[in-house]
Amino acid sequence: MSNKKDELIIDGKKFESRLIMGTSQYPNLEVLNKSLEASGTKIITVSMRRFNQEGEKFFLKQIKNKYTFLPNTAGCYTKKEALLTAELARESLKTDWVKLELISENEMLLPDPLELFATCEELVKKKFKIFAYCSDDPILCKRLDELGCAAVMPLISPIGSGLGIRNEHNLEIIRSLCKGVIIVDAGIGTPSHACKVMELGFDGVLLNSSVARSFDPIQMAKAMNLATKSGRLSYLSGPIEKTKKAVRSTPFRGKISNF
Amino acid sequence: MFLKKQKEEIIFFLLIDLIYNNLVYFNIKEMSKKNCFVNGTSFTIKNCGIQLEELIKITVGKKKNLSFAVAVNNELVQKSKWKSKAIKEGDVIEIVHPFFGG
Repeated sequence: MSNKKDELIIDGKKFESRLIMGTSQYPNLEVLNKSLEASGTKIITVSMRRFNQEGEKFFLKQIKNKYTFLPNTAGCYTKKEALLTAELARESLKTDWVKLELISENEMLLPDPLELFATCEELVKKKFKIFAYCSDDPILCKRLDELGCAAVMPLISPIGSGLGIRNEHNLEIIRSLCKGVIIVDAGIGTPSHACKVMELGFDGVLLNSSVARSFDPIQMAKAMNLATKSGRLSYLSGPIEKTKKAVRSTPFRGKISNF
Repeated sequence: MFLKKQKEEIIFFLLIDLIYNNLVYFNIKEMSKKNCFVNGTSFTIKNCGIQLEELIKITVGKKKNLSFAVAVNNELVQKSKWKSKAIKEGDVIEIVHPFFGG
């Protein structure tokens, strides 16, 4: 979803950046703040956790007023848990937005498609704007899109793995089947992955580990920023078609001799 | 001699009675302190009837800038109802706020 300025439009709100950033695993708050700045992001994800002193620091005014918050249900395994977490997030942050994460097991942290869909149905009735984190199954994505999710967010590989795109063809099908906002979430390792995703026509990229766990998070955040923009520009510019054989670029006509 | 022994026995039983009554009183007093659970930790509610808002103040202190949300027994309690919500023995209270996340 975009307009003439090519802004990302979600739930009627416009955003200049197509990069959504996670806020976890950074070495410290200063690096987090500077990385968010370098990424150019306008939307950041947060979790809902029991009160403790560390969380207090996070809510410095400079962070709170600058970004749009996207609360998640990270760590939830059941519909019941996710529904309560979503309700708590809405009460706490005064937003209907929720990034719905419902994982099925601990090793790969893969989303549970059945539990996810059932929970989405419930949350839609409760007027939530759902960002559904799901597997890269085209039909599941299509069904979530049709259900009315604000954004469908397929993974490209497991959370935090940095493996990049595992099934490009599935991503192409997802893009062609879904009319709404599709944002890739999870699996990005390097800026080239983010760029490729954007070249495929996705509306945005959500990432965390690839920046936070890198050697220089601030620089990596900037690289992701540029990669996302670059991929988007490439997509809008209409790349050339691939061919099996070479296509001459320099004109043959006018060559000095043919001996 | 006999009377003296009887007197000692009476004093002995009176003392036992006194100790017993004190123990009963102490137990009743202890029983009046009930427990609930706040963020997974047992919390003693003296004399029952504490309101949720009071409990939050005790747990969180006077931190005003944090965006708390509270659930009691897995159900959201909106901020407008914190004052009127009475906490009972065995209630499970979760006080949460936004935190780092991906």
